[in-house]
Amino acid sequence: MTATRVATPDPAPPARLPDAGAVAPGERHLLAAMERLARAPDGWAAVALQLSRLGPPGPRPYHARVARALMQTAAERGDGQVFTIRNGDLVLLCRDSPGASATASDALRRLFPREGDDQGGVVREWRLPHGSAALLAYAVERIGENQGAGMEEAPPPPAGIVEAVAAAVAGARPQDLLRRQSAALIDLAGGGARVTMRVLYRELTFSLETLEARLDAPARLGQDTALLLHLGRFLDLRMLRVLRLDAGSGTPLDMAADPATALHVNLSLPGALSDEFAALAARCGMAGPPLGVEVSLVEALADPDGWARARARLHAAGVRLVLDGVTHPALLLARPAALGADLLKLEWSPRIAGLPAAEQAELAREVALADPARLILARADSEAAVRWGLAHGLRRFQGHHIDQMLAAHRVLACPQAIACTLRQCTDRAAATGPDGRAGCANLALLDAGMPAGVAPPDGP
Amino acid sequence: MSMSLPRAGRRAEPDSVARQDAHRLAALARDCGATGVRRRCLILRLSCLPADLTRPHHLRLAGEALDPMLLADRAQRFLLPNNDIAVVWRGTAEALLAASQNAVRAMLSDTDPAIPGPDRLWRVLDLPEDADTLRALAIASLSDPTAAAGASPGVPLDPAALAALEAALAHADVARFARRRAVCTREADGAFRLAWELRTLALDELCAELAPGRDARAEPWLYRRLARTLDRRLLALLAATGELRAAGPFGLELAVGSVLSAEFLRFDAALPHGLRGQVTLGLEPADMFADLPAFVFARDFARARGYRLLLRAAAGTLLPVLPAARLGMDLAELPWSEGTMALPTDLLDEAAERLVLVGADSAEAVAWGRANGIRLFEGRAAPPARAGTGRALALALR
Repeated sequence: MTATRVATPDPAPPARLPDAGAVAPGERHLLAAMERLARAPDGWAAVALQLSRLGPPGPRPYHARVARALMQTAAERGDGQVFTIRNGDLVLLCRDSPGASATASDALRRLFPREGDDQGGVVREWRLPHGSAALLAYAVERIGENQGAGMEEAPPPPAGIVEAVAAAVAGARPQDLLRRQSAALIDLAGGGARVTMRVLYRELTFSLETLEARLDAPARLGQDTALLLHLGRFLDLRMLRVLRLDAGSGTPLDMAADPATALHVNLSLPGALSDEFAALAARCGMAGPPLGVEVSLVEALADPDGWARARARLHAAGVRLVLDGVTHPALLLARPAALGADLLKLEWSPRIAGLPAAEQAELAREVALADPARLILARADSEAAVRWGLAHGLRRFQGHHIDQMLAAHRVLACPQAIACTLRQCTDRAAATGPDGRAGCANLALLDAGMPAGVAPPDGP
Repeated sequence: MSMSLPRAGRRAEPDSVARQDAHRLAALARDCGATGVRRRCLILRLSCLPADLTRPHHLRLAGEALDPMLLADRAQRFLLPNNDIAVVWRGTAEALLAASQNAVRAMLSDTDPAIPGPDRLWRVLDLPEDADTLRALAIASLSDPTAAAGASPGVPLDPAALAALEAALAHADVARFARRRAVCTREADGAFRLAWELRTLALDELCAELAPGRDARAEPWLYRRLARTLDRRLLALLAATGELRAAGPFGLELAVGSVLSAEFLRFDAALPHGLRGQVTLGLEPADMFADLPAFVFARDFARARGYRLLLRAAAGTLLPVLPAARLGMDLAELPWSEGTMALPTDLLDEAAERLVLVGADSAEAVAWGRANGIRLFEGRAAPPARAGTGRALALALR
């Protein structure tokens, strides 16, 4: 293909194009259409949806599918065409009469209202011939990027995969699949002059990542919430059975070993209402630690009657109930605190820090309404997360940053720490099996909760 | 007067007989309340038991456990559509009551401790003081989902059976399983006018044919996955040429992922111009919250294409948790149940304009809905007087 110049009153110099062989089909077809249009560009317009600019977690296949359908409707109204660029962007080129392109761009702006704000939004529009040079520059820039979209849609995992995963779990030592993570209370005494930290509880969960790594082929269960939650019922019973059987064994899953630190188990509603849990609660009541159950918001919404039954039964048994999986959009769209859990786990996301000011203020209002004293900031994986939580009145935290703070305390206090890195200490504390804990010469300290009143080494 | 003892379980009873029993019990409670005649009633709440404990032989045993009560003065037994059993008598019958309670205890002695214990399964009511409670229980039994679950619950679906069912569905002709249910507006003159028709696939019938002996609803998350497959088949069916040419306003119950699927886009492209703005999409809370960014995108897309959005199965306890307006939903379903009447009125005042009372199978449900400002109803007690138009929907949503 020879270099293309669209007729335009814009005095900008023409962009240089690479050889046709190096240009992906979408870009090549767009350039060919622009070349044809160069002879009579009046009344034509272009709209680009820059899906490649979508913020984390990035564009998903349905974004492209739905946007393309909307743009195709406009293309049909305006004798035009939709082009898919290699980086995932979509470009509509059509007659602007009767407002086809404007309708499409309005619809796209409504669908992607805040995306790419820091770069001028994800929707761009050009009227031809005035905008021809800018459109050409956009196309040339995309060609130069040589960036794939990575938006291929995998089919949902087959239902039968659940049985394969269950068989793998049944054949593995549960200790190798279970992970524990502490939640901590950070206290700011004297207006923040003195920071103290103590472990509130340890939570046990099955590690899906560890499980997937043991399978011959990836199960991709994370792509199907329904299958994942169905599997959860099996995993619950397995975990509860192990906890009951390990009582008194002296292993990290021995709940009697540290009766002072509360134990939380992450369960489905049937798990929370099961015989196995009742048996575990009875044992904890006799000689174990205070017990808590964490149930996801999705589970609670799927079975409100089951949630109410579980809440009543757990409260009667003196077991703390935590509503897990409350994301910041969930707090903005619903009132999960009205479900009546003792504590709510608000999931931190770096996107929270990037919310527009109005949404930041709305989120702050909802946090205050839900009562910061009832919130745990989960997935607090960074100092920014902890700072945000503290600024909003939260004092309970869980996440990798907390794990590291606790590990730093242990490393400072441990006479054998000379041979260990912070990362090793963090990973060993999360493990419940002997393989994951191998290398630690001070298991007593590894398993101990941080004593109250100890200042963290890198507290916010 | 004692009734003859039924030897078969509740499921073996014709549905109409159970429904008649429910109406007779409600009438008896009403009459007791009105006349002040003293009676007592024992209700055995078998509807609280899991499906695997309400098979015919369990129900027969439970029926037999209450046999002693039939020796009481003027005892009457009522076998309700939701499997609950009520016995009403006059005078004192403490020894007989104790004998029945012991029999129920014995029946449940070796069952899972997680299920409701005998003390939660029965309830003794004193009439006329408890007449309203008894009447509400009788009426609620008419709309209890266990009443419609069919004669045999079957073996719960497991992942392997689901995979086989999904494979069978790929080639099955689902058109003959297409069903419609009316959602009506109650007008000022008391008549119900069709607002829209809910279009669904008859899951139970479909499973009976493609996976006989399996209970597709027993495992809720596998059921949700199956529902997604059915969504796509229904959408493909509706997108077929001419399928919607003469259609009036209608509604679909879809998963969020289905609204964002290629099948929905084809359906949307095939939707006749006149139906744009006349289609209601029902979304389920758990599905919405399982992937909120996808829900928000699907919601905004559906709005841009003129669809109305309905929050499905928002049980009364979820009303304060999921305010429909805050979620960007036009409407919310409120399933009718015994507990619906206990909802705080201030909550209803706020939400009534957007509510659709579903499962309104009794005059009681409709009356309660009307008294609380609800205008849209779905159920056997709200049949459409005549075919409606889009205007009925517009009026209802105004």
